[in-house]
Amino acid sequence: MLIAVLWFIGTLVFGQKKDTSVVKLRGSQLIHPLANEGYPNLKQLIVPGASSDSVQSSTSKSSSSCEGAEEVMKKRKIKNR
Amino acid sequence: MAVVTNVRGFALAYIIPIASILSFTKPEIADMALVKGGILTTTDPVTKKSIQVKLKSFLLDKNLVTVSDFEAFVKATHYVTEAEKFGNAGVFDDQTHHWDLVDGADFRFPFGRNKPKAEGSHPVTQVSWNDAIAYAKWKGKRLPTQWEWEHAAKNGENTNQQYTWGEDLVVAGKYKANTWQGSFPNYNTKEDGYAYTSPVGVFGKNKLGLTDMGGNVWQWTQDSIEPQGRDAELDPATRRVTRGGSFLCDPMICHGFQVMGRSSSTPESSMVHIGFRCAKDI
Repeated sequence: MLIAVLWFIGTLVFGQKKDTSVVKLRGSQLIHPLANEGYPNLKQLIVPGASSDSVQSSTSKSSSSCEGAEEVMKKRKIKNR
Repeated sequence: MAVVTNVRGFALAYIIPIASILSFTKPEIADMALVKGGILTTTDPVTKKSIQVKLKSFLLDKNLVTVSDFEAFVKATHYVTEAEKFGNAGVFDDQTHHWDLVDGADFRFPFGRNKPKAEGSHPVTQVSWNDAIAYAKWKGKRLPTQWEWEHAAKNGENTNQQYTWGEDLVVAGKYKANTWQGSFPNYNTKEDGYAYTSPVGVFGKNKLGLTDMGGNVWQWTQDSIEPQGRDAELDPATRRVTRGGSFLCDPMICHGFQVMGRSSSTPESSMVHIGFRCAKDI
């Protein structure tokens, strides 16, 4: 019972950290809508000193808006053969 | 002999300086910014190691090539873009939240024939790397290398600042670039005023007078890069490097519009978020 209560409290306390891994906007004052939608701590979680090198590992197309675009272009090449 | 000497003297004194001045007042040169050479300290996209790249001075278009600019090229040369040859192009559908191959989409109708026509003042999109090369040659220019692009984005100062304009995406309540606000791909709050592309230059200039060196549309560069991982499995074809990010970049997941941001696509790719600007040797 005690374990279940501790797990529940832990979930409440730490459950909101899931977005921190993607926030590396050095000095950014961006107020993401999520900051007002159940993630009140998001703005404070912005890492002021994040290295610009972190950009390199963050530009993977698999995690960006380009996801899916490559597949579409490949589909076009195949379609045109 | 005296006449010859006088002619040479006249040429040296008047004709050559005047010709030089006139050459810099040509529209295609006047619309370009001088980027002084130097040593660029950056990160190799493949090895991830810090590298230094020596660059000569060059000229770079102040603005992205617009729909009107490209239309003039097509009108003069009867050039047919790859999107027109394929009969379709890549469009991000903000209703389905997916990329689709849309029949009839091209630089005039970047979202398809049943969507609004592209505005002349907006950056041209749905142009492949090959299309961009053709345009650049017609203008007597070339595409910048990825290192030249980055050097220019850093204002030729080799700074570590995050964006071409400074450190913050929002300054005094105003967005400094056309990016995605909200949560990609689910919703865009359009706080920067634009859901798609924006007219070139509306977000201001960097120190060199260059506009849209972050956001609006990705920009083709000369350089090639071999795909890795999942990209290579999907298509092993050599990619061409793009820089600058686009209106689809959500800062929470995409850092493409930072000065170090980088992506790539195959050279025949034509997509709704890729455009280009040209460079020229001095």
